[in-house]
Amino acid sequence: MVSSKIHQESSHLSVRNYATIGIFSVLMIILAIAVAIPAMSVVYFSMFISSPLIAFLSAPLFTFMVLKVHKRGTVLVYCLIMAILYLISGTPYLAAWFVLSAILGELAMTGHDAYKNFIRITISWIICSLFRATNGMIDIWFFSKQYLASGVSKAHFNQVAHYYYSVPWVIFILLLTAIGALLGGLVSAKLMKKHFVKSGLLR
Amino acid sequence: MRRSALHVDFRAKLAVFALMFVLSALLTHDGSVCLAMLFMMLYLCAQSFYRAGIIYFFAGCAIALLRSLSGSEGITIFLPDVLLFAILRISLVMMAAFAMVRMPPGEITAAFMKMRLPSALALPITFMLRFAPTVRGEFRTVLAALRMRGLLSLAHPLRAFEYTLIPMITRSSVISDDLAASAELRGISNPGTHSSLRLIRFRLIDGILLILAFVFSAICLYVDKWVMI
Repeated sequence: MVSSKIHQESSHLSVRNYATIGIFSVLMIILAIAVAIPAMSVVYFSMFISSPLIAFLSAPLFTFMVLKVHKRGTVLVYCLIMAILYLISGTPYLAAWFVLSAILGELAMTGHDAYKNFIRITISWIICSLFRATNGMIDIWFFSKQYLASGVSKAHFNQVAHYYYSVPWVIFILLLTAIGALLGGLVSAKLMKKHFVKSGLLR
Repeated sequence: MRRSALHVDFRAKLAVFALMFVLSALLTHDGSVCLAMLFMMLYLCAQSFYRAGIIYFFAGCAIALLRSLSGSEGITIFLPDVLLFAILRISLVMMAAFAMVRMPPGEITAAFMKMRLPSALALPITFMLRFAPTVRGEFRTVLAALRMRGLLSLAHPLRAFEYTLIPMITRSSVISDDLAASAELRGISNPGTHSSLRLIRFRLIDGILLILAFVFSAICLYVDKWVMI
């Protein structure tokens, strides 16, 4: 009875798990900012390469976080943290968008031992990356007047709107992001096995 | 922080942070953003963060000046208009965030408990705020070690990525365990009522600060809409 109680308790996220989620979320946010801000130098780079590159580079951090915690709710908490950040930043519509991402990302992790399965982790990461990639598009699709009124130059707006209002281009950008996240997932699996599974840091 | 520094409640800082985020999205002219940054400089200086306040403010003014000199073209492709636009607004938000990340984690945890935020969200955010200021130092240490061994090379970007990322992940993992152990020792997992050595109280000064923040924001918006045309 005691052992079953211990087992029941250990299936919940502990303080150690929350610390891991919080710290790896910070690293992913910083990495995303470090890529996104210099990427603004070239408008095409920021539109086509920035999201796939962030998806690729952040994948090992996400994979390690999920594997280290390996408990239900990790992806949900990570995406909800992002949603809270968007809520505080005065964009509640993006917060709602990230809540949806949290639900879908966590749904991808349902089932026995999904939190130790590299394929399931990669699928969940692709979902999270696709939602992140559409942030800028949502601003243009639904809040174009406010976006333009924010003081950004008309030339920049026209360039961005040209691509974000075109369905084939949007699909192309999302496809690139999914490929970036997929490649990131594959590289992460190799890195985790090489450095952490072998050493016993991850099970 | 010095003794003479103004102590601001975490909830008041959170409100100022949210206000600056909204303001950065609403202000259309760089002049009014600089005005908001002036308020934030005074806000940081009142809490004894003189260096950060002054650096952020003058950097913001320099960016606004560069943007006005370059028109809507930006300065070469390396500093286009949209990048200057984004950095200026992000700097305003960073000023508000600076005061938050410099708070003791115990005080943030106690404030979150008073706010009745679910621990599933309060705990990771507390750890995030505790870890964020140290990331730069951690990265610097890893990069210095790699540079010393000659392992950082653009000729092998994937290898350089691996060599940078793996120590960073290992280090962050250890830090997360240490922080969790420290929090556990202080009884964070205790299901009972928690107490704090720090007095968490929304005082009159916090109320005055919030009113001032709203007044300054209203002034910035007025200047932005009606004065700077």
